Amino acid sequence: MHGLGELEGKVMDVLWSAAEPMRVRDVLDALTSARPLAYTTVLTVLDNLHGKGWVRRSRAGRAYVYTAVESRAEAGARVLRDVLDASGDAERVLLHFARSASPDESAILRRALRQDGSK
Amino acid sequence: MTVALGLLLATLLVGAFGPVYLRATVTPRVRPGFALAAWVSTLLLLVVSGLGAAIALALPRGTGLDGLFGMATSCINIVRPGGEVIWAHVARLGGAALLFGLTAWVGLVWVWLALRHRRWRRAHLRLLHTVCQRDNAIWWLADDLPVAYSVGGRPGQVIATAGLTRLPPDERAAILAHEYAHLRGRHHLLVLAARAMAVALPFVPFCRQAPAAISVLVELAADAVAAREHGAAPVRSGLLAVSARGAPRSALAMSRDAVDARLRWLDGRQGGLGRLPAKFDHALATVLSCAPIAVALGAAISVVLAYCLAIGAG
Repeated sequence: MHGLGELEGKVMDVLWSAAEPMRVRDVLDALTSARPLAYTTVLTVLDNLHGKGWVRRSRAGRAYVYTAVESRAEAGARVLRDVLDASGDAERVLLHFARSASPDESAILRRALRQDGSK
Repeated sequence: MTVALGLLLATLLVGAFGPVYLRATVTPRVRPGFALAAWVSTLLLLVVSGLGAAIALALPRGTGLDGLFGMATSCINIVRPGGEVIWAHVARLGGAALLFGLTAWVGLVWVWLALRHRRWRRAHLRLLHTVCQRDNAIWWLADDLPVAYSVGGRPGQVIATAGLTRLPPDERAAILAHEYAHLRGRHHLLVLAARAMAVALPFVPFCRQAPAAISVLVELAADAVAAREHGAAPVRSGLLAVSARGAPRSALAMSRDAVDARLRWLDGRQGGLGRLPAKFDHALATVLSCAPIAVALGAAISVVLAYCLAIGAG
């Protein structure tokens, strides 16, 4: 699943806080933003989010209504899984207590312990 | 010319034999902060001495650099009648060009990796900003697996899971202290720098081995900071609890070796240097890391003197 732009994040916030599926107009009204947003902007953002797989849409009368595909917690769990899967990539994050050591790192540690033990 | 030869020799010595003598610092008997400082300052030294050698080689003779230690008029700096040969110029300037080129290449790789990391960081933090419960300093993910990690850069960010809050408070505090130690020590930057050197110059033994050593040492150093702040016991029990709980997800569980090693380091009794306050680690490690330069300069001076005596022009 793709990442989020700033406005996309705000729209997801709105959808996660809502109890029911929302129309574009509802999302627009719920968004608190420094400058007023155009209806078409929100429509485009929701369309992008749909394309990225973050929101689901269904027809309600003449308009679409939008819901988040997964809950905030589920999305968080997925982000965490991505980080854990990439944890060999140490230049990104330093991941405490769950990271598997690379073969080179294990070799360094084993050698150090062997030498320490033999003294 | 003697300075140039000395720095060139230092660069070669550190590049080839750096890992051999630095490996001795990776032991539970040496404080990991000290070992980390030694590896990092050696990394820096390699770049500085390489660049220094390039500059000294590129400078025309008689600029007086050798006068720093009374060698301005040694035979290799005096143009003797008929003694100035073209190949010596070519070798000197060619060497300078090669070293400048390598330094620039390291710089390019560094910029490339740093930009790539910044892009990833921005996207990742934006994602977290949306899905996390944010309290001032720490961002919380709703996940039962106890995990904490940190994203470097300015500002750095610590991310932890709800699973972590279910650990005893002292263990939780120790784990978070470990993450803050990463941020305070700019550990992400150090790992990235080592990575850049390895990607740029994989044929240099020191560059090839530095990333793994530095990755290990930043973890051990952060453990040591957490243990100084909260005692070794909570760091140890937190480590055990989390590595045991992480076990079913085999790909993610910390390797047995890594857990054993970190526990050994936590009980490590550091004699000698370990009795000095930790704040001296950086200064002392930097001074000791410069020893190869002194050795190489000394060797270069001896060789030049011997050569001058041999040709009878000293």
